[in-house]
Amino acid sequence: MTRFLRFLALALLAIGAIPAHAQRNEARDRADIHALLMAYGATLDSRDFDGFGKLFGEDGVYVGGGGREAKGAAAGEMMRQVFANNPNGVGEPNFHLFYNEVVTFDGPDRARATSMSLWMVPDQATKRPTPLLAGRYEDELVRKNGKWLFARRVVKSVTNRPPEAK
Amino acid sequence: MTGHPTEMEDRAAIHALLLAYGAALDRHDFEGFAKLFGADGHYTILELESAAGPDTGRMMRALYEAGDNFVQEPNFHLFYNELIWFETPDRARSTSACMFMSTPDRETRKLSVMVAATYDDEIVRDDGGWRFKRRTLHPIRNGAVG
Repeated sequence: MTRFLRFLALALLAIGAIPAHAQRNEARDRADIHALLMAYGATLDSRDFDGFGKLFGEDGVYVGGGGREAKGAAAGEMMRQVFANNPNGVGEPNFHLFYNEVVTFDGPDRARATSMSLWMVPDQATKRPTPLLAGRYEDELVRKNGKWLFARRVVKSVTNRPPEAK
Repeated sequence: MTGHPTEMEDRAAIHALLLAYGAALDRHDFEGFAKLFGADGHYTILELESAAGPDTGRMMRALYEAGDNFVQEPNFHLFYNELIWFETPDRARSTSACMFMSTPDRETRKLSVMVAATYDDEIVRDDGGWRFKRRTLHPIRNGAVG
């Protein structure tokens, strides 16, 4: 009987009879995770803070620049307040530019990512897009109900320190 | 996303198409640029110009000759925030963004962002390769210089 079951398992593998939901497609997962990382910026750039909060699911943790922390939908509310206060007094349109993305998998439903961004704002004098903030992201990602979400995203500012006195 | 058997290589080929657009312009290869649109692919620069097929190359040559891109060199396209998704195995959509970097100051030759824009693309497989069926450029307008 054991020999028969082993034969059956091998036969099912050979004909690709593993259910579609159980098959891992890394290329698709990478595309979906890339789309999640882009959606982070796209929702902020379009001021879709409800959409932003959904990227963290129910309990994903967002640690923004400066260490402010929120979970799930509250992450969207936190960012709504940040943009409403506009502490840097920047003009519009402004947008995120993402680069140096690396994604690694811890398992079929868990991954990690690091990436970076520039936040581009119009220079007040020339109106040319100019980087105002540079940031680095450290992400823990999880697949829930077939969808990739942030389990934890930590934003770390890239700062140059004040100019040294001459 | 269709999950078709060649999806991974199709993504690589479409990414190459998006980069070829900038590479052709950066080396002033306007005939090569037009081939990316095939016989009838449309290219529209919102609020400015529109052309189809081989006329896309002629349109871009005219725009380059009328502006500073032949003298403020080096200049180049910097692409980012690319997304690709498939409607069928032979049709895809893409959004991406770009900054056109140039050197307007002849003394310092410091790189400056001259134009920022986003692209909205319809892409089709044609004779085994991928080409633009429709590309629309949306300039990011920052208002008048203060």
